[in-house]
Amino acid sequence: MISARSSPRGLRLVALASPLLACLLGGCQKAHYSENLRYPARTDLIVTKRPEKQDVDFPHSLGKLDQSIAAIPAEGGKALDPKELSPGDRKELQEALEKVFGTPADPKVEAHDFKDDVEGDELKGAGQKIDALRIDSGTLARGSIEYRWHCLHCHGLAGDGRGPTGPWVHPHPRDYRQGTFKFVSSSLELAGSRRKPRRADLHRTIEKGIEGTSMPAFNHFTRDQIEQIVSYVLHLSIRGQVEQDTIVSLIAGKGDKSKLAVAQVDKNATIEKNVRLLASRFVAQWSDADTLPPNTPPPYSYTPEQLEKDAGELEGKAGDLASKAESAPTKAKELEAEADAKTKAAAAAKDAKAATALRAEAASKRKEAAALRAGAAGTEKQAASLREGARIKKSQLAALKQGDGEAARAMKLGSMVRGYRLFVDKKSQLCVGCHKDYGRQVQFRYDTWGTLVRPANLTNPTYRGGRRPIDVYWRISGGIDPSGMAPANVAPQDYWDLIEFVQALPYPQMLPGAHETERYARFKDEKIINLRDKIYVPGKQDGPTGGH
Amino acid sequence: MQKWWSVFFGVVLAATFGLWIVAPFAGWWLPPNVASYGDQVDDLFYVILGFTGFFFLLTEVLLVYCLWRFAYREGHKSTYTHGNHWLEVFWTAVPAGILLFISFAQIKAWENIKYQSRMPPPDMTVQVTGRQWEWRMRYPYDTARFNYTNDTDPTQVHIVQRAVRYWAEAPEADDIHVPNELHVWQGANVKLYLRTLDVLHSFYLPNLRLKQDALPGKTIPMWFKATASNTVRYENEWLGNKDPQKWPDELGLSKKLLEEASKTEQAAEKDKEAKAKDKVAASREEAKKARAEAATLRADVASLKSERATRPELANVGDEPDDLRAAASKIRYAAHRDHSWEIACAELCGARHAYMKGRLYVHPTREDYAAWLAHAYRQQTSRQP
Repeated sequence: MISARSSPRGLRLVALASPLLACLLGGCQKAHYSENLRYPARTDLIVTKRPEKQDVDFPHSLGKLDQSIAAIPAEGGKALDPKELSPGDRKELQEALEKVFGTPADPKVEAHDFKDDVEGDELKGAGQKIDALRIDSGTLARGSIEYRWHCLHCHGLAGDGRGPTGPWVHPHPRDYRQGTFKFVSSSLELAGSRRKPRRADLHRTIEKGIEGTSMPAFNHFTRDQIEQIVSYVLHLSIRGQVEQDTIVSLIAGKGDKSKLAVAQVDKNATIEKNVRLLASRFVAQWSDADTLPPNTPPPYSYTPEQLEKDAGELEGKAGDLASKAESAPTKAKELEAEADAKTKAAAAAKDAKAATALRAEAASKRKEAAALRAGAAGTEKQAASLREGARIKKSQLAALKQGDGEAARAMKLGSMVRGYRLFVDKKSQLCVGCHKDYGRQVQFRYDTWGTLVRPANLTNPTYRGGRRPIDVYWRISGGIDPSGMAPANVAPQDYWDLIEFVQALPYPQMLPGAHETERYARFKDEKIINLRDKIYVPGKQDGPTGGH
Repeated sequence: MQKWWSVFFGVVLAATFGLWIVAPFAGWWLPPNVASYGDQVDDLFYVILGFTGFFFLLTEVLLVYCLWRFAYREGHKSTYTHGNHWLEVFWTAVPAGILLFISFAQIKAWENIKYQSRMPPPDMTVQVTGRQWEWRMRYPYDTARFNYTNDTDPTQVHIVQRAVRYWAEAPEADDIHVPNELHVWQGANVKLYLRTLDVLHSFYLPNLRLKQDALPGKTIPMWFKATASNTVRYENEWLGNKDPQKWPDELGLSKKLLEEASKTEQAAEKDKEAKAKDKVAASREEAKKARAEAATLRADVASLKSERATRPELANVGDEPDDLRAAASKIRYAAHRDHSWEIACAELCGARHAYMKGRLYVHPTREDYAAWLAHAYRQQTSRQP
């Protein structure tokens, strides 16, 4: 009787004590992935062409990413279903991916040297590139633990942006598997999907967060921790892109292996060889982005050194134009003398045909001379305006050197005004083409991920890519390729004016008002526009919301 | 075997009680208190802990005793008793009395910490925004912009308070944005304006004994004053340059703060002299205040002296309060070398709230803080990659 009753008691004791014991023995170590865990095969649709529609109404499918992607073919885009892949190919692809990229518990990236790549790149020094990109298996293993702990719940096990909390946040967490990122500062020599972000870009995004989205700042992490996470994101991105591109070429070629990218290098193309080639290619692309010098801005136009330099350049140009204008009258006189000689010759000529030809020549010479004279006036005007520009720059320089705070402020406002003119220029549609009404009246469009996004509302002081002027420069000069923002391609000196204006836009109370017009119109070209009236429309503004 | 449960409960509860006794000595207790009003909060905590501890012990001893005494016995028949009226009156009245006592005892602390009208004139202002899962701090470019003193005209104070409310809700172009980092200086009256962008959050500074829930749509003021610093001097860390006058300062920012600091010091000197002259005319309230100050100073010195007694490295520190304080703060710094005074979200409504952490940096002086602010501003306005 006693023994029969004691056994449930023992069980009860174990049941009560085991959570306590588990806590004591388990401690607070960050647990790693199980060794048996594999990256899941891709099942969601692959967007191969985004719909061109630019005026989608407010989508009701926010938060339902897969539904909105499923609707893409109906909207005029194209999407491929990975389920079309034959089961054999799918199994082969999964095995190849595991060979090259490992498992969540043991991640790695293998790259090789390929002699003759399809795209004409030389894939050399793969080993060094892996080390320089810090995607060696040691760093990746540590990054994988950090990722599991801090990133996975939104960005997902395979970096697909579909983690457990992913559906609940808007904008959607980034899906790394396309190999494209928004906030990129890589060299402008790289274009399209080859323009991968630098490691420093991902580092900034993790450290500072993305204001206005659900990506928080992880700035209390150590540098190493962040670097490890960056490495692991690279791993997931390369793996995802390799998987995606292989699936796309297999489905497009209906399972025909000779349609794979690797077939052009190797006649006995297999899925594994293709995976290895693509992995090496993407490693090379990431490495290029990281090793090429970043997109460097032109020197800021309003430092004393730059003002002096610019003034000198303007004066030089003005001098050239002036000497051209000066030589014009003498040249015109020479031409006229020639014309006179021709007229005389025509009068003396016996042959009527020759006489008309000579007269015509004389007339054209006279025309040329007249054009030269008229042009000289224009050139002189141009030279004068250049000289005026130089004079303004010099006076600004003098004021700066005297430590005149008002002058510095007036200069800043002048720059802002020039930026405003560029921004609202209807001919070039540089900014207002998309950022209608400074971004307050914009509609949704599709980005490369198939998500609905819209151009930023620039009256709102949140900057997803960062709020430093250099961050804004990177967004304007390099564009945000995946979301359809094109690079601005303006003259180098215009960038800082645009940035000055964009950074002042959210703060109408800080823009020059009408009562200050006189105060700030210190230089001749700073014709002040009352920006407050142009920008601030009462009732239209979103209102003070504390930074969101 | 029938008494197994009483033994089990007895052991577990004895272990719990033992843990409670051991915890303060093992360093599992409250984090070091660095708030000017921290003692008030801690005192209340201990009072309540005393009450609850006493009744915990009482009820648990009774429980274990009853489990032991009234366990199943072969052949013993249970007897049933009816409730005792006076016993019930007694155990209702006693807790009611205790609750009443606590509700009166906490009024002073609550008034000091939470009443807007009792908050001291600020030395600096920061706006804090909670967001899943981070704290975004926003500093005005001019630290002294929303300051006033006890002597400021009340209408002026009202204007400043309205201005700061507006600022707290609408960011301005020259604000300095720093996520997850709260920088203040030792001895500054810091005014914080708390907002949230999404859900409920709870801004919690364990070392400052300050906790405040953030409600969507509301801007909630709070204040604190840190009495110790945990941050190495700025010029050593970033500049290797000890003379504040030589710090790079394109904007005259730290210079301005320095000037203001010296002005405040001069004003304080004058104030002291004036007070010395008409000691006789000093109002009763002032005397009261002075007495209270003296009392806190005495308590301070006493606690610092006891600290000195426990630490051999402090044996040579003199009896002057300032010496004692300096030595004590050095020790605190050494203990928290990793800048680990944290800002936490105490609204534990999801796993990620545990990671919604920031850090509190208390600079030793106002100049250090100003230099940090200038540094942050330079970073934010950088035009170079």
